[in-house]
Amino acid sequence: MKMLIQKVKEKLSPIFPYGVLESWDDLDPKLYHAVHIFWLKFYGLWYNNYPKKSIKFWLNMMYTLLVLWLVCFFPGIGEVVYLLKRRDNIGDVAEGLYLFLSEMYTYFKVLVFWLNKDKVISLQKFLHCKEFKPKEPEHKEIIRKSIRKARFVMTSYATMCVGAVSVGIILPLTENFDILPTNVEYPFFDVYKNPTYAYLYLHHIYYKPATCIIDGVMDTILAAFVASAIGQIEILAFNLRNFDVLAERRRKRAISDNKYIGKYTNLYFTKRILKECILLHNSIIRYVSVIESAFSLASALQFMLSVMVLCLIGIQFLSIENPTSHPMQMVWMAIYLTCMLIEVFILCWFGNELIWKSNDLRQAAFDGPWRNLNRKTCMFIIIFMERCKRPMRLSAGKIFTLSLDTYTVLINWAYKAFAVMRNMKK
Amino acid sequence: MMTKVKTQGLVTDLMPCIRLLQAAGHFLFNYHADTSGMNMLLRKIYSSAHAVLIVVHYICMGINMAQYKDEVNELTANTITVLFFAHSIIKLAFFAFNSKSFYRTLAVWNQSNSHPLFTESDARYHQISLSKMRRLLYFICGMTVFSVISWVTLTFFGESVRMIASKETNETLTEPAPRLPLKAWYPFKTMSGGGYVFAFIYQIYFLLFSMALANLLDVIFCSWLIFACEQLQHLKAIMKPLMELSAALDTYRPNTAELFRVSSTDKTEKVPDAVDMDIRGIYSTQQDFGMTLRGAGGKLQNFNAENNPNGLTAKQEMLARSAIKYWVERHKHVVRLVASIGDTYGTALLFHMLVSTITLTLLAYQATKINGINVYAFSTIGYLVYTLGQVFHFCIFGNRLIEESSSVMEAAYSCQWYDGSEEAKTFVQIVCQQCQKAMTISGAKFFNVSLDLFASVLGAVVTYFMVLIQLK
Repeated sequence: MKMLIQKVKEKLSPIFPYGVLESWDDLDPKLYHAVHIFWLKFYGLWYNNYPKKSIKFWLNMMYTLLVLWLVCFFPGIGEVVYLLKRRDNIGDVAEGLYLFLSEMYTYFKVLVFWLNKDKVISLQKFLHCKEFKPKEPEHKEIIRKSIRKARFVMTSYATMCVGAVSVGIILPLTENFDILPTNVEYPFFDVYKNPTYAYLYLHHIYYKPATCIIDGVMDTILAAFVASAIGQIEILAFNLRNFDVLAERRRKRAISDNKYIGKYTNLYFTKRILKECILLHNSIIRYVSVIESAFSLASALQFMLSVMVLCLIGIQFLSIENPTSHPMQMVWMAIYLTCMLIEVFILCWFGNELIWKSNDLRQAAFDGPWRNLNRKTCMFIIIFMERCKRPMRLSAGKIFTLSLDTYTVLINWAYKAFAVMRNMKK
Repeated sequence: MMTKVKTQGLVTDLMPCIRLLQAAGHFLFNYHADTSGMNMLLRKIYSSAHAVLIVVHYICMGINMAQYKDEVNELTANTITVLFFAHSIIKLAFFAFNSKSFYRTLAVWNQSNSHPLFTESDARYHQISLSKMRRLLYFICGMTVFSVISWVTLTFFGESVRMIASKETNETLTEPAPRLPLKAWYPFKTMSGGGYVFAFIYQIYFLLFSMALANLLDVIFCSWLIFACEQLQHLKAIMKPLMELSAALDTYRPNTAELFRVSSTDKTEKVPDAVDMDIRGIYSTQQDFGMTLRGAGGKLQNFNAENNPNGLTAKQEMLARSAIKYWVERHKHVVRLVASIGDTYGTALLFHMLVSTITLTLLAYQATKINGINVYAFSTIGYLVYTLGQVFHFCIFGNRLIEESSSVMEAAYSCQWYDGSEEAKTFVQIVCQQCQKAMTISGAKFFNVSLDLFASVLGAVVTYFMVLIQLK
């Protein structure tokens, strides 16, 4: 029976992300990004690592181009034509612009992701370095929790977006098939004639969830890297609080491995543990700086774009005539607004967590049993605490720091812009 | 005709900029080889002549502003122009009154300490700072010339009129004005003929020299900051070898001979000829390292090789022990330089920001009246970009100084201090504590020069624009 289940799992594992059917016992770092990479591969947007001359490379390239045409260029052209036809009325243009901007911005994020291929691959490799490997059972528990958090954020955010988009897809049903889920127009054919309308509707049913999922992946992949950094910081805090226990365990392990030569005192093992803490701290600092260099530009542009899109949604909200007769429109607007707010919130929340957890390291160093150490060994803790006075922070384009303060500032600016545009509309 | 003047330190590095400042008419009378009375008198007359010409034209512009103050648009435009050139007058006067403190800052780096093991790194970062300073100078000179050319070119487009408010009907009429780059009052007729040509040439001279006066002084300030940042980079770069040297004193390390090899050839850098390499012994001045072989200080007396696990000679041990002292003294020297820069230029920055704030407010108002792509739009946007560019210029270098000085702490932490000696660990602790607070340049203690300042200025302009466009 067990063999059968094992065989079924092996057969099914390519069609699910890594970690859904496999066990997490080895805590392979690729568990953090398995869901993200799975969806990117599903839409052909992951890095094409096949050698240039092989058939697989070209097949992959064709699939990528096909998907891009279906989800990016074809709807994009339709939206641009729709907006251009209405360019005399600035108000109408502003209303249709928010959807166009947020969809196109998803593909801009994909482009930046491709341009930063080396950095992202090096980030993934960094996760496999030896300082980050869990050595104690408590470490394993911490890493398991952080993996769960990273995967949960991705799946829940993507599900929420797809759910939101399905409301948009159901919209034409309530409007008697008068409109398409997204307003598009094409120069060569009429979109409201019957067979074309049906094909376009089906196309929209494919492309809208696809855009949502890709957008979700792009946003949450940064969150997953930050979650792994936070997991390592928690391990470091645990080590600092319990370094005497860990030194004792190390000594016992050395005795049982017959490596204990007798001249190594307890002090030697304590120093080893503290030195490993410093090395881990240095690795985490380097890791966070690589994350920043890979995602800084995309996050900065994301923030600026979100401000614009938020105020455009606000304008659109106010311009629906007869709110009671178009309840689905109101619901769609409200859900879209919530999704946009949550998108920026995820980035800022994880950045904020990073700052708080690295501030916590100072407290962890103080909580440890340093009273029993001699002065020379205390120097490790003193210098460590000096370094921790400046917390690790992620910045977006050196202007914004990813934190909840920035989130407040952004929402503030979005509201100011919305108020000005509302007055101008009048 | 002029013999080469012997200069050292910062003056050598900044000589092109200093010569340009003297040519533009600042009251900078030092750093000449020939200081005979006749030549000094000639130079003073040259600077005074420039100052008089520029101030006279500025007063003419002021008279023009007072003459046509009835019509709001005309008044705003003239006020913006007058404020724009106020920078040059303020900087000219500021330099004249403060030249002593400029000379003092330029002389801060005349005597610097050196260590045989770190001269190569010192020379490399010095070269980097020299090339950056040159590039900045060329860029700013280019931008100044470009601005003058585009200003003069723009004069020939559009209609050359001025607005008058008619007192009876209360509407604005236009009256023809001379087609000149700037609106100013002249005691002679400038509509056409000889007066027009003279006024045109005078205005081109005024534009070029006043912009050069203001921009070159900013270039000196930014060059000082570049120098300070490269010194900090040098200090960060030698942190790792310093730790290894210090570790070599206490614990057995393989390959300690490598640490003491002073590399004399480096393919990537040119050794500057101005560096005076005094290799009379182990260090440049015995006083610099505070110790003599006669045994001053208890712990330095035993130089026998048996105490040292790596078998270092007495000379090598001396080098290792003096490395930390070199680092600390160099860092203190950089702090003195930055403090001197702040004292010298802080007030000028304060005045610059005050005038720029008022200018930008008025420019935001002018920008709300842009109604198409015409001469008015180009000139307003040109003024905006230039003013914001001036503020951005010194904000970005101030920000770099803050970043460099606070990243020294991170460099100290990331080198392998845990393998070093107790002395090295204490050193790292004190460095970390000292570098918690970054070195900043403040505008007479009112604000800190950083990108936050620029962002707040930009945010203020956008806010004024949004509010004013509502009131329209």
